[in-house]
Amino acid sequence: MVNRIKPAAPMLIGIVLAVFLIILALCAPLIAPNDPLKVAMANTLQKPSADFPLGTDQLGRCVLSRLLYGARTSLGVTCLVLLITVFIGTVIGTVSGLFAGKLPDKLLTAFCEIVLAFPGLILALVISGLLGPGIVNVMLAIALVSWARYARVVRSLVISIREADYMKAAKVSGTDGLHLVTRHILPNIGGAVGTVAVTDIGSTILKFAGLSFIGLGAQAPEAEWGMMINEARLYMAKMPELILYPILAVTISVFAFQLISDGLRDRLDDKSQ
Amino acid sequence: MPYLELKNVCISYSGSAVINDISFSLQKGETIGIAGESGCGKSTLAKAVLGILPKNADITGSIKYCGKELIGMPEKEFAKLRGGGISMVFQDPSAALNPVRKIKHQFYDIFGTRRSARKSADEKIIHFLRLVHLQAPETILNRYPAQLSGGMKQRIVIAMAICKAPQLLIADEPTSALDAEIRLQIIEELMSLKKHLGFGMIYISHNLAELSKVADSILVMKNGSLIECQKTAELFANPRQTYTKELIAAAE
Repeated sequence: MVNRIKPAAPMLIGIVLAVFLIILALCAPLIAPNDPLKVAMANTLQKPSADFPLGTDQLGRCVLSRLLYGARTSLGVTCLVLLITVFIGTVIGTVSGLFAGKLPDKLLTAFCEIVLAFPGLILALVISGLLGPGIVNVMLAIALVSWARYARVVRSLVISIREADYMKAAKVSGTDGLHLVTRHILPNIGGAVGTVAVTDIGSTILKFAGLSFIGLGAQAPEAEWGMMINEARLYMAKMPELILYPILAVTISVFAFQLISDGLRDRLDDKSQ
Repeated sequence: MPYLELKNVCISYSGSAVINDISFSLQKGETIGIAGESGCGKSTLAKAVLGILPKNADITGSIKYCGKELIGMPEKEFAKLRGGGISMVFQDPSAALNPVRKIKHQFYDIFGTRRSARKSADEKIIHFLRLVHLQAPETILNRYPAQLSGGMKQRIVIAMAICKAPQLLIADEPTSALDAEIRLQIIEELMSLKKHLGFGMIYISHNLAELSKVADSILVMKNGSLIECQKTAELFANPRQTYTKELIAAAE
């Protein structure tokens, strides 16, 4: 009993932290003390006060409000990126799995391997560099380098499910091809793909913050953690906490989702044993 | 014209032969039993008739259903035959039902039911569940396979196999995953459905005693070959092959 509870404890911490972050992000307009975009040159680089609980930045904007709205941007973008990634990966993986061993599968598998051969962040950097700075372009760039892993997972799942007895039973009872895919294959791969997607939340937050840090992601005056780190860089000596807050925000959120991801991986390993 | 006619059917998996030169035919409403030990190719033969052999299988010879050649038939055309023409009851009911879908949804998929037509489809499903003597079919509709017993699942698998009124039903060891009492009930179920709906049947089993209850004729297979084919009563009275005698002895 003790052994069964122990490995779940870190995952539980992760879930609590993640839920807390999500609530903060969702409730940002209600709990943020100030407008995160409001510039007040008279209040620049102020220490924490009743009006500005975590102080102000170089343009006099409330740091706490920007952190809260930054959570919305980071988590929102991450969710959208994962949705796009999972969609592309699932479509390509399903087609590949259904045509396993045939020409469409060979072409798609080769394309997957080409994408996987590049380091993800470098390729995302090149793509977003080519597309130009901006949140939408960064989202596309991250999705375009991340789908291949999902396609691989989905392909192998489709191949194994295709041979399952319930697929054959549905087929011989007269279920048509489209229903076989949408009602029998996709619901059965949902769990595994969802698990992989959760394990990717942390790294996606990090990729987005990284690309925003170098100026390719969110653009001023948007509140975003990576960009906040970049802007606070210049004031590190004068006001070190300014860079510390967004770094802590990124670290805590990546840590929370990583704990969940590790917990899920352990559970899957237990199941497969 | 026979309903189903197999001529010189040979099947190999990646070059190694599993079915050697098998020929037989089935008339309308007839039940043929296929006997033989595990791995002798009984299920492979059934899958060949349904066109669901694995990709690495090579098949030669001829399989005709109502005069139509099935070997080499385009998948789109074959799909139209499955369900309403030929259907199959699988060996393991737990594996034959999708674990993540409710029973009613698995029926909707077979009927191709639209969301708006689900109510009338439910009545149709209940009718088929009653046909296989399932108690309280209304409650079964919303259950997942894991919430049902082995016997209930096999009855549902049978209901799914017959719900499009097939002309030919292949039952691949439909009782092997069930206990003795349920086994008898399922056999009776299949025979009464056959009488009621008039379909022909290929009943596959390693158990000759079971086949004697259902089959008009019995084919005995060994190592992928057909070694004996006789009317059921004749086979039991006068088996020609030593292997058949051994199977009869094992069944007694």
